[in-house]
Amino acid sequence: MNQDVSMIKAAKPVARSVRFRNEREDAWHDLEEIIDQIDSKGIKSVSAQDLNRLPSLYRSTLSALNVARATSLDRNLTRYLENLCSRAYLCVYTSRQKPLGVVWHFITHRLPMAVYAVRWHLFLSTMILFMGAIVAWVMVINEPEAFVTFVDAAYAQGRGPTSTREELRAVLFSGSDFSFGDLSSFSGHLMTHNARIGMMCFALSFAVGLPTLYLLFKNGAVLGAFAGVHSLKGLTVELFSWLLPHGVTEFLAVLLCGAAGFLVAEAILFPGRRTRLQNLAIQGRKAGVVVIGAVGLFLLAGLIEGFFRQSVQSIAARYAMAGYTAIVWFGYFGVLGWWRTRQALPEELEL
Amino acid sequence: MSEVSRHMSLVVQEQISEVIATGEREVVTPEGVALRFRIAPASARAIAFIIDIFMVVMFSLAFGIVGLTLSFIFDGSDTGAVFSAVTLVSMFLLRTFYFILLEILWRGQTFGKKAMRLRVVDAHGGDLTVGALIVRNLTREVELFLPLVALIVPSTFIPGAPTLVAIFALCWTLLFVLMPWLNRDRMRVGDLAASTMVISEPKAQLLEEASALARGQTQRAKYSFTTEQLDMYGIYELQVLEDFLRQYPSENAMQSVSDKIIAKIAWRGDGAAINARVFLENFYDALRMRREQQLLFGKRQESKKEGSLSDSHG
Repeated sequence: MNQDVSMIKAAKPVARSVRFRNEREDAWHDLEEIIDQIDSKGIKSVSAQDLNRLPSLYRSTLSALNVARATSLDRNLTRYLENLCSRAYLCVYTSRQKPLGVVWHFITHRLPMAVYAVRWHLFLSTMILFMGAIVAWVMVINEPEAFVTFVDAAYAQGRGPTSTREELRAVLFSGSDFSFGDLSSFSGHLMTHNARIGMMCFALSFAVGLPTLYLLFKNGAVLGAFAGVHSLKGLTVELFSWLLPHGVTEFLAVLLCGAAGFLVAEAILFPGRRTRLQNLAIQGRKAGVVVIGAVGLFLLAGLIEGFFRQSVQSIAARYAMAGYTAIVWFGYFGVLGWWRTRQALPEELEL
Repeated sequence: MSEVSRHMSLVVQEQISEVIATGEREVVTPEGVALRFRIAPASARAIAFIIDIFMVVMFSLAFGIVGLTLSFIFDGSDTGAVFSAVTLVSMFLLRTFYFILLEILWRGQTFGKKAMRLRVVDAHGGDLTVGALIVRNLTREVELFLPLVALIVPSTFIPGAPTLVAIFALCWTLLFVLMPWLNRDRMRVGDLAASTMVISEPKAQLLEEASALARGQTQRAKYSFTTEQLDMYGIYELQVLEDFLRQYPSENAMQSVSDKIIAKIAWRGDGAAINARVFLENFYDALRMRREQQLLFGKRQESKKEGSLSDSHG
């Protein structure tokens, strides 16, 4: 029999980890209760006293986890502490945002800054849209039949190269037989349809921006084809009075989606010093803000189209409205965006 | 973003460690403790998503019915149009903002995610920003609804496109759908673009102390063991035994387990028949004490030794 083999009497002492647990268990349960309450009823339901204890309870539990990992072999205990610490970590280290505050800050800071930041991408998408418009316009002017290759029959609503001046004019000044039902479902459809195209423009940009290019060019071509058909009949001024009151807002929204798409494509193609994924994560967030802003613009454009265009017939009033929206958006994105960017701290620009 | 969380995300980004096991991801807290998050399984996420879509449809219909009632009250005409317009627009608004707003308000959760105990977190353990939540939900449009449209009515996908282009587009959209299975963190395209991930947060219970002695059921151990006998088993077996004892095993099961242990460590009692439960509990206590003691000296014996002790010991 070996000399150094000592008998372990399990009777007197218990394992250290047992004492360790006994001493700290109450604090863990306190922490668990507070987190349960935050998860189920929200942070506001937690008393100030408990909220003050949260960080210290979290830290002591975290250090208990460290100790348990190093010294305790009770698997249930270690698992429990890991779970509790992860949940507490997410409570302690995610900033709490007030819903209204978030929305307000988004409108007054994030959105104008994000749009200002993508101004060159916006310029690029504008150029592509114009290119599409000019190509289609030139083709339709020379060969009116080309109209059908650019515009879907459903979208054209019967308008085309064979339409007479009167037919075209009737569409531009329709709406005097005001019907709320037609109007609301039409603008509802248009709103969701255009907003979806815009969001698609952004979402598809993960294919290095090619679908974005295509969608922008195509939208421009539709515009150009319409302009061509109408200018052949001498209705250019009337067409734009029909198009621009809501079109300023709507085209801006399409262009913003395109700009966001190009930002993402650029992030993937030219990641710079970061990895592609890191860069995508950073630029993608900025682009997402721009797209949400664009969705808001689509909704506004739908409202203008539904309630303003069909009830106002005067060309001058329509152009005034178009000019007014243009000034508002320039002020909001151009001036406010520039101002906020100038005022912003460097780290705010990164988000 | 607060000062602390900014500091934290910087620290954490430096220290993202590798995935330890499949389905887990480690994040190092500013305090320097590594926490493991369990990546949510695709099935749970799918169920959560179905619940959420159900909510969106229900809410939209509710809004539509409210619109319908209002139009009845104020003006008898055009009710159908008002209903469809209100439903359509609220469907669009809800679909766009439901996930974004709820995930902002409930720290990365929606109705579906709450039900399935899932949560969106920053992939590096940092702050969950509004921008990230917007992006991860916007891209759902291209990941799910677009492929659905492409599958169901391929002609509307890109109107008038040549077949080859349509097929390419279809494959491209399928790539988005399958993305979660193409990376170890089960991130979909939206998660990649926003650098978020979805974790599952099952609530772990702190069970009763595993040691029977500590629970105070018995005053002293009935059976004792030598260190040599105890060293035949490692941490792995200790924890298997812990799980076994927690399951309220049958007498037969305990008998066969204790027989195995007795044979392996060549344990000899006083000749009387042993009580299997007490024997296993005593053995668990003694083994845990021994292993924890050795742990303090930096000796970590992970698993059992091969073979069995010869009869001369014990």
